[in-house]
Amino acid sequence: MTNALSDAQLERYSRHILLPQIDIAGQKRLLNAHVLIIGLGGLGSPAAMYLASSGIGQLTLCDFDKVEMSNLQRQIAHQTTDIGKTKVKSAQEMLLALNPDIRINIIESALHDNALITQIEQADIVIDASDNFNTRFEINQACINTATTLVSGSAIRLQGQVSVFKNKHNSPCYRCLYPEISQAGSDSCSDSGVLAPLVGIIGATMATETLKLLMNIGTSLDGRLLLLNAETMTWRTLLLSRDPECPACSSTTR
Amino acid sequence: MKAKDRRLAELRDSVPEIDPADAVEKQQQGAALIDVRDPDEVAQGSPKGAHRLGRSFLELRIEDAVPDLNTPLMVMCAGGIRSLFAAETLKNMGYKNVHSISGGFNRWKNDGMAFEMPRQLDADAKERYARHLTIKEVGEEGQLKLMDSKVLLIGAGGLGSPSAYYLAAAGVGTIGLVDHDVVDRSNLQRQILHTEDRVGVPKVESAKQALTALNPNVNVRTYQTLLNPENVEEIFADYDVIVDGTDNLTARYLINDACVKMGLPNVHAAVYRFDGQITVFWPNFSKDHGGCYRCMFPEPPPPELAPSCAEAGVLGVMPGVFGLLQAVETLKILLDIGEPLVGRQLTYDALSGDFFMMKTRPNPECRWCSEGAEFPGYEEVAQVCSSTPPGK
Repeated sequence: MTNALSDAQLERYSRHILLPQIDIAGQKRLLNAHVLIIGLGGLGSPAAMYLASSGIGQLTLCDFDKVEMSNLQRQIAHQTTDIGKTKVKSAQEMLLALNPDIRINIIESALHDNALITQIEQADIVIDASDNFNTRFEINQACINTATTLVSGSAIRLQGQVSVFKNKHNSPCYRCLYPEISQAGSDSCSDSGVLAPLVGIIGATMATETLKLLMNIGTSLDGRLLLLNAETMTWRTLLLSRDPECPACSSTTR
Repeated sequence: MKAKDRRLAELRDSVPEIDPADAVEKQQQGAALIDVRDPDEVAQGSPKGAHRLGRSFLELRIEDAVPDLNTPLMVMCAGGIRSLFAAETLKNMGYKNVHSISGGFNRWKNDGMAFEMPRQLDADAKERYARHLTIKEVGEEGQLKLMDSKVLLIGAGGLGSPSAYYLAAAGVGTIGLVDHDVVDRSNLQRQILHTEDRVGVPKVESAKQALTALNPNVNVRTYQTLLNPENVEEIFADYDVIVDGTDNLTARYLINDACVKMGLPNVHAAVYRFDGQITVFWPNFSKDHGGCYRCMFPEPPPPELAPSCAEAGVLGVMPGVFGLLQAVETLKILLDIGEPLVGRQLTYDALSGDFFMMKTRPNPECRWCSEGAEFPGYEEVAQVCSSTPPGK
């Protein structure tokens, strides 16, 4: 546990400490927090970089993939000389360069079943920055089973969305929104591109929600889905409710 | 008779052919020329104005290129065979008037019809920007446009960090950075271009290192200086879009005035604590533009309403969100896609998680941007701030 902030920390986090809603107490909460980030690609890069610079004390990064040239169009945690390295290793170097004051754990394989549950239980919040529905459904189920808050986002072409699933009380889960993979939609390979900063906006918004939740300030997006259409730059909010027939969460008593 | 020959005979019966000279005439009357050859063939030359869609994604891409099924299509390959197959597919998709160009590009060239050598991305760029090439809003043509573009970022701090990172990642050819400051440890809570080991280094130098490491193909130009009325036009002259990521009123008014005078789009954002706003000031955009910064704020605020002189607090990720929104608006302007935030201002209240859009209108009396107004000269606005410390 971090108790008193060092002089270097007071300097580094001064712009947070100046905010009455954060102050020293809020910054200490961040420094004592642990966030699990699954996926260090387009969404995970900005989310991890902003959480690291904000002073989240411990980040666990999970991704089995390696850096490829085609990632660099949007995955800013990696550099051209990182091609071939594991994404978590490359991201760890970037994050520690931004902020050597924090701890970065890395997991260079995909997490399933008990291994996934074990990692989630050690984290205060899980960020789902993965890129496929099988993984998303697995993470959702594990967060429901452990009553862990899930911050979720996605982006394609010029569209994006972000939400929070607290998995407590009567709040909906990710699968109340997408009961089956077919309903989630899968775009063909020719359509699956994205305008570079779109994933950045969504990743940064996911980081914002994570910071709010960790410091318990503001109103989280639990039960709301923010949808961005960047062609017009319009954001819409959809209210989500729990699906009593949800294949993932309806059998769980909360 | 081989199956192939039988099939070709059938196609020749059902698909009308057209000679290159007639095709040129039809193209001038509004018919679309569809080049279905592979990229390496197109690189050897292709008719002007042709849609170079290739054969393998033809069905998926044709509607983006030619949305109206009534538009006459003329399909071209190298010798006039593959175009017959492609033409039949297009007919089956519902295009009502489809011809195959007889003899293909080989005959086109021999008959002396005009063509051009289209610019193409090299193999490295095709791999790096693959996720742009597959969306219709960018594509190869759009990516080439980005690579030819020049964007100037004023400020390599909280807003400039994510803007610069993503514009570089996206492949904008030239990125200029203006900042006179050096990296301070208190910047690192939000300015992700900079790192602990570059504390004390000029921000523009630190930024150049970060951007070049991400994408060595981007030309990063640095200006370690404060903008002033003497240097602003010379610096702005070479750029297509100006991104205002500054944190002081003197610079904001100066950037506005120069952009209005020079007709440049000004992608403007500001963040404060847990809030932020973004709009695009661009009086040249259209008749329905939303005015300029001086329409919105004709005068700087009185000291008691101005932000404190002491450094203001801000949630670290706020400039992140707004710098990213600026990057998106910049790319939209460069690619000429969607509707830029001209005449509209987007605000975000991070604590409530709400975004709001409001309309902005030009001030008909504005001395800078109203129609027919003569540029009144640079009027330096002194830095205004309040001596009241930020409320705690």
